[in-house]
Amino acid sequence: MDSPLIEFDEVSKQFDNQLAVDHLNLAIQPGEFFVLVGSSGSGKTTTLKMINRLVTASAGTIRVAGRSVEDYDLPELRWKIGYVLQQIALFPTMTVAKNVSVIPDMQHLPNRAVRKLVSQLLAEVGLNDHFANRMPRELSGGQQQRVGIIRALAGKPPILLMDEPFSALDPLAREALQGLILKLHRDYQNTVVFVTHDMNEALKLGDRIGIMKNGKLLQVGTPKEITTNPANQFVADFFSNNRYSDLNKILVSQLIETGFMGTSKIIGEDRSAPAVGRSTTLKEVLRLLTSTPLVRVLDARGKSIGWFNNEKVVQFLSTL
Amino acid sequence: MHQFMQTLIDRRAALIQALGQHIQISFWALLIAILIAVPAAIWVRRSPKLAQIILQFTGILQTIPSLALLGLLIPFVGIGTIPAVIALVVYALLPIFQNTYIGLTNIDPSVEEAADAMGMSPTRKLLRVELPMTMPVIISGIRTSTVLIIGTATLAALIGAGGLGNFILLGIDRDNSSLILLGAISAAALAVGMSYLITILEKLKFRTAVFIISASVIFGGGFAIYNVASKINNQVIIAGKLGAEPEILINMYRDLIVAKDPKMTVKLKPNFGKTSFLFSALKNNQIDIYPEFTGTVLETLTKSKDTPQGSNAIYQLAKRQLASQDQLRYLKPMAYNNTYGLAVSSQFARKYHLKTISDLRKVTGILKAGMTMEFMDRKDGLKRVKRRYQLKFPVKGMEPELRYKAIQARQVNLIDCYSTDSQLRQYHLTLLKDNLHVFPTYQGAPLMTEKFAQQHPEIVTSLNQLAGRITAKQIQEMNYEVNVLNESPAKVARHYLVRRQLIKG
Repeated sequence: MDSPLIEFDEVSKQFDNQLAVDHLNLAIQPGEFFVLVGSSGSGKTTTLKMINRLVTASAGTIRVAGRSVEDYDLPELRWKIGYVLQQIALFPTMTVAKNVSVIPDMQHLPNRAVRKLVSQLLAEVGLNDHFANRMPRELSGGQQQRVGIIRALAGKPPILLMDEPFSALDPLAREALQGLILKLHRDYQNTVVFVTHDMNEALKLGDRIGIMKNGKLLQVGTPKEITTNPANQFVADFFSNNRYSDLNKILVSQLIETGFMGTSKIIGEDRSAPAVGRSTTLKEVLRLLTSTPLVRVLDARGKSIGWFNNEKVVQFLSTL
Repeated sequence: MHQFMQTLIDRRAALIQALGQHIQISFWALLIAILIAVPAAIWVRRSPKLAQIILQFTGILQTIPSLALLGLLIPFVGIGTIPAVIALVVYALLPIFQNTYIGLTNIDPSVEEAADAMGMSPTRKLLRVELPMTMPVIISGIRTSTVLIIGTATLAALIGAGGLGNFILLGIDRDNSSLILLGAISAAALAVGMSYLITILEKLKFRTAVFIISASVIFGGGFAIYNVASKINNQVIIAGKLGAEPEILINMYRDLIVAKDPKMTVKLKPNFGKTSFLFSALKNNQIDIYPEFTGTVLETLTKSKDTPQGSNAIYQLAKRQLASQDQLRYLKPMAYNNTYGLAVSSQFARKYHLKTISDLRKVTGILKAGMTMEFMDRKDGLKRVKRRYQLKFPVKGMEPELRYKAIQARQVNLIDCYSTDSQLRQYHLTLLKDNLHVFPTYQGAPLMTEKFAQQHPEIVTSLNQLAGRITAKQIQEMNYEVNVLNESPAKVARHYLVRRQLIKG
């Protein structure tokens, strides 16, 4: 086996009154697609951000290519590591082309080479050259994140960090981008560290998966190892929750987060349809839908935030 | 309307010059305010506490009355453009600082994170990401400041910086609403125009905007250096208070000086706001000469405790005190006594047989007075009159010109005035005799530093030609020609000197 490209050695991160990452040990191999999965507050994003020093570790050592990240010049380290955010965060005052060429410009690549690179990268994510001079706000969410990905890849970094990159997108765009990122990973042979709270996404993308809870790494293994041999009850639950449809354990909040709630305005007699909350079970939603075409979703203050019908729920079930 | 158009045509050259001065003062104030406020906001953006302190401080600065600020600045930076620019900068800081700070602190943190993760240095992040994102908010702060500056810059005229305020001040002093309108409308149009220009600038790309601003800075800077350089040569600066009479006098001074030495360059700065502005300007060598009254010297400038009787005694005391306290030379006074007086309408005087101030006691029940704040406040003004003549009547504080309007409209029936005011003639008023000699003597004479007097003995000789000349009647007539007949003070002054054969025609 090769020596690991990214290595966590007894790494902890203490925020003001919370231990976000607790004595973490992990080795990620070159060329690997590694997925960190866990619910919110599990420390997965903090772990990711310590690799490119957006967050500084309180204790322990993180090594990239055998050298502690503290020993790198910051730009040198960060140009080796592409970064894709959930919020996409394209620079709003720059065109698509300018966004993509941020790092090549800093590396003083000649203008002609930069233009060629931008055009080639746009093509790789299925955007034609007309997009080069558009402003980010003129693009759909999916298109924006395609630009976000090639902005991170423009410096040809050996490592790509992705922080829940698709969770803000609609299911169709997410599906497409999941396929795209796998293709790019194969083409570029880079090492990807991918953070998600969605077990299905983890199983679909990861060569290996690390499951985190309360700042600890519970289990690391291939999708197969984890599904057939969960290390403990939590892993088993987390996994089964997503994999097999125990309708009593799936809550409305999960449907909302994965984008299966309708959000168009409710009109006519549907406004008096039965209502559910975030913590209602999917089983209850299904029971209601046997007698009504539509179920309204209310937030904690009783304000209507969306709706489900049979079609939406069946679409959700088909992803399990 | 016709009168307004006529004024516009008559004064278009002066208007263009004033507009130029106004733009120049405003431009520098704005630029300096930007150069202070934007970096300051960048500097404190990570420290909300410090930012709050600066916000409050600039907020307090904005509440200082502009006139007070201008007065405070004279001892340090003198008169003219510099204190005006400083005062305007002080007012312009808050909107620019506030907007820049708010803009920078409201940038989406995920965009900041993206910039960091791309390996941008803090400077590069600031220039490429943060400032471009904040630009619309900064520009809107700059626009607010611009409008504020252009409006406030009209006060710059009070300290001799010129600008459109000159028109407004002159208009108020001469009771000429066309002049006031001309100044006010031009200032408003300038504010709207600048605001529009900034809107255009905002739509340009960041780099283009920076280029245009830098270019105008270099251009404006060259112009300012040229202006400063052109002032260095040896010229005599003569200033005068607001009004026709001082302006006539300083024109006479100039004509007399130049008649004796045609190579001498003399620059006039008419229509200064206040006595104290001129006095500090003289002591700080910002101006060389200005005409001052003997009574004002004792009352305001040397704060003399006793006031002697007799005009010569008053002059001698004023001269001695100015020499010992401030090393100033006070030349010999002219003939006329421009003192305070009380006036009623001629009709009112006839009806109640009023000739002297003592006669007012016959009508105390029906007296309603409109008087200037200055007269009401001075110890040799209203207070002494009421005490010595044992009078009681209600008084309303009024701007100088409003008094005459008010007495004409019969809203008041007694006003204070200067004994040489042309309006006494214009509005058919009767000056009541000061039979108890309450008002001090106010004789005008040139005031300069002792050093200047020693360096320019020929100027002293020239100006002394006016000593003992010009009667009250003559000055009242000249004031009337300027204020009512709209003659230029230069022409009126020249006419007098030629007729008295003090200069050749």
